[in-house]
Amino acid sequence: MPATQKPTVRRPAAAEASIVVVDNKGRERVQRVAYVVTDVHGEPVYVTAEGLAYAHDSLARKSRFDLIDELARLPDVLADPDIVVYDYASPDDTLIYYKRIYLQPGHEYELVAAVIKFRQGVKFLYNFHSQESGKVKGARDAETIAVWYIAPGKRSREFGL
Amino acid sequence: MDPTRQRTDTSIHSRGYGDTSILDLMADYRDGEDRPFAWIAYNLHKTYPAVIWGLRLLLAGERFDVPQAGLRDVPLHEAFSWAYAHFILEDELKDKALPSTSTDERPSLTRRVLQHALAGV
Repeated sequence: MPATQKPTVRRPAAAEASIVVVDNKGRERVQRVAYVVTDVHGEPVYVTAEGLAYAHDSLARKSRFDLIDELARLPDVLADPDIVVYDYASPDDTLIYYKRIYLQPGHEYELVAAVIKFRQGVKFLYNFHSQESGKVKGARDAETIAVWYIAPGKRSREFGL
Repeated sequence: MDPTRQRTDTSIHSRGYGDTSILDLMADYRDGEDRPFAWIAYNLHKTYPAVIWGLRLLLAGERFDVPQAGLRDVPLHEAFSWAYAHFILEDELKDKALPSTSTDERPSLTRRVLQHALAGV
């Protein structure tokens, strides 16, 4: 698998139209799969209707309607991220994919984060939000951050690490 | 574009989430403002006690409204306790809504939720 690739997005096969995800209390929840993205390491990430709705609602409550429009670029964030790190507070089940994207004139580039949980062998969308430029989560204590992937030509210090 | 979006919606730009000095907790700021308006913790189900402790120690003076919960002028740890009870515990903590009494007479939701959260430790 090449280090970077065009996003591969597909509709779910019949057998994966819905998946069972484990929520934060360990309860099994059935979610409807909107589409499946092959991420930068060739692993499937399930983007569910519930996950998208949660991200949409979170952004709307913050009046970040411009980022709601950018949810369509989620496959690109997952398949061609700038850097992917384990969440220092939960490295056993959380990866954060970061990518600098162009939003609109005046704001230029903005770092966005796609939060992916992986539980019981299933990677699924958990949230999507903007991130302070040059500072991934935990950058204040950079030695605790484990990098899962960094794009060719990128340096970890660009992201506060 | 979101076809259901009303055209009257106007985006308000923000800095993007950045670290706070509290474990797992990030905050976001409107452009040009120095008071955070949004917070996120990916793992509140695990980090709730530490987050609450940090909020009580470091941001005890901050008070906010939580319209979704019907809470007004509450300290941040109370707002986070409501979020934990509502989104994480769901039906495990009955009667999590605060009674509409004056602030001084109000029972501490944080105390109740923290007690519940620590029960399994």
